[in-house]
Amino acid sequence: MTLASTRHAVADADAAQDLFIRNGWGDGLPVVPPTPERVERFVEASGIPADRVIGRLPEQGAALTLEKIAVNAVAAGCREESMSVLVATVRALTREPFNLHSTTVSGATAPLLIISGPVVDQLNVNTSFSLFGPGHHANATIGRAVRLILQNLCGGVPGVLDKSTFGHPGKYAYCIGESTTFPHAAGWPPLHADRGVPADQSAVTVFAGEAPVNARNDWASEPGPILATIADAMLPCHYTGGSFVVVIGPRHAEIIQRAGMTKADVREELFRLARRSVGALRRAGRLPDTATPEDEGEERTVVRRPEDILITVAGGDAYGYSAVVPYWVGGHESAPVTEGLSPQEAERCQIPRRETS
Amino acid sequence: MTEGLVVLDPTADVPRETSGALPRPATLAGLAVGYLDNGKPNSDRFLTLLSARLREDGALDAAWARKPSIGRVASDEMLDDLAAQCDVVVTGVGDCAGCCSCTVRDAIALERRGVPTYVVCTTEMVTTAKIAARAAGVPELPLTVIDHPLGSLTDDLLAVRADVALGQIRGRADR
Repeated sequence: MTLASTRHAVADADAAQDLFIRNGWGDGLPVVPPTPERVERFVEASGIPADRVIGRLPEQGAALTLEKIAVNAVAAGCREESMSVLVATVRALTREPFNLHSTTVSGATAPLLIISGPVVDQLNVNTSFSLFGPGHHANATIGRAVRLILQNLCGGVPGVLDKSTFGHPGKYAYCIGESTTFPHAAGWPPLHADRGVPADQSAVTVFAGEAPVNARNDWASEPGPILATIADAMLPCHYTGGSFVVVIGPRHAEIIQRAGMTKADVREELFRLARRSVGALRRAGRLPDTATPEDEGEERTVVRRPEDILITVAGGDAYGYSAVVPYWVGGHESAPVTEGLSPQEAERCQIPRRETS
Repeated sequence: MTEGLVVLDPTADVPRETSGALPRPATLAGLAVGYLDNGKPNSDRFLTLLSARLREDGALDAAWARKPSIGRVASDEMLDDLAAQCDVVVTGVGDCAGCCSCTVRDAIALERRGVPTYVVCTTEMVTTAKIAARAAGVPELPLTVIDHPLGSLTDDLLAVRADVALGQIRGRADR
């Protein structure tokens, strides 16, 4: 196998860490040294030639090759079985509507990955307790590989091209799985099926998201107050017409589904509730001072239409929580993208059963 | 323990051919000047003020274009139109990382069409602009730099920025 990347000879593993730190090639944490042997293994696991261009970034004149995805996946500590998910992720990120360049270098978002379908269980992607938090290898390393790809291949070096004022903790890793049991119990299709990928396939959805906001409602036993709580959590957003991700926690999902609501019903209700008047926005200083007094009662919705609310089900099932993920400051200039995995790709995402003796 | 290790570079380390920027005309007097507004708040007002000053130097307003999307590069069609109508173009204002890289690429795309193009960016974005220019193969692209920020400025302050830009464009006229 011929690899094109520049080779750096270093004394040992510690020197490899120094090389990455010195060049700003990482997120500040130690990396797995991407040796040619490891990278070859990852390229092979993807089933794609190393020099294949998986996506392009016209704003930076950049091409993302399979080999570079593999180098960064190794460095991030991924398992090679995740390669097909990462390839699908790069395809999704580099689709024109996502606007990868601007969402990477401005605003305060990271691409949130929502993995759905059979590969969730095949790769042990966490869909339960501490959903956005640490502790799970697949979520941590796939999410981190995306961060390294953004930094090393897409210009997102913090403080250099990425001039985000605050960024957010999800810029280390922002990868969740959709529950493979809860949404379907009541006939809710998986997220990717809402977005054009056949329900029985696997997919990755990418969304330029700010940090998640918790919506707690432990007391209601019917959908009304729960959806009102979720809609209220959506209000502090940019009002620039982006999409919203709403992660409905299993306890909330159970109550909503028991009442017979479909996902479309939930989207409609959230769309009806998640809005503020021009007057309220202006009093909060949230609008440039161009509104006239006659505009005061006019309502601004957080999204432009119900379909722009992406519903998934995940999280721990002990308490009554959901979470919402606000959109990038540019709003409708970045759209979420869902990319299906082909059956062959999904088949490659299989961690071998642990051998026990 | 120190048997040595080879690691692969994780960055897009593609060696690139570079070229110089086009020479700027000695004077803009009598030249058809186009303005490519990147759509950032106040860019239109800034470019209007700058165009009035350049007209006093004898420049002719030839074309105005405003990009529909701040954080993306201009379409080939828009660039072709500008190139067909203008001797030089002024584009800006790159005052954020997303838009500034795009504005630099737009300028270089216009230069490749034979039109010397002045990029206006803010002080905070000079590094961003230089990275974008290097990545696009024209590392020495001249920049017209005004103080950051831009979006919140009043007319008085915008006029000062326009004077500064005018001085730099005039000063560079003999390059």
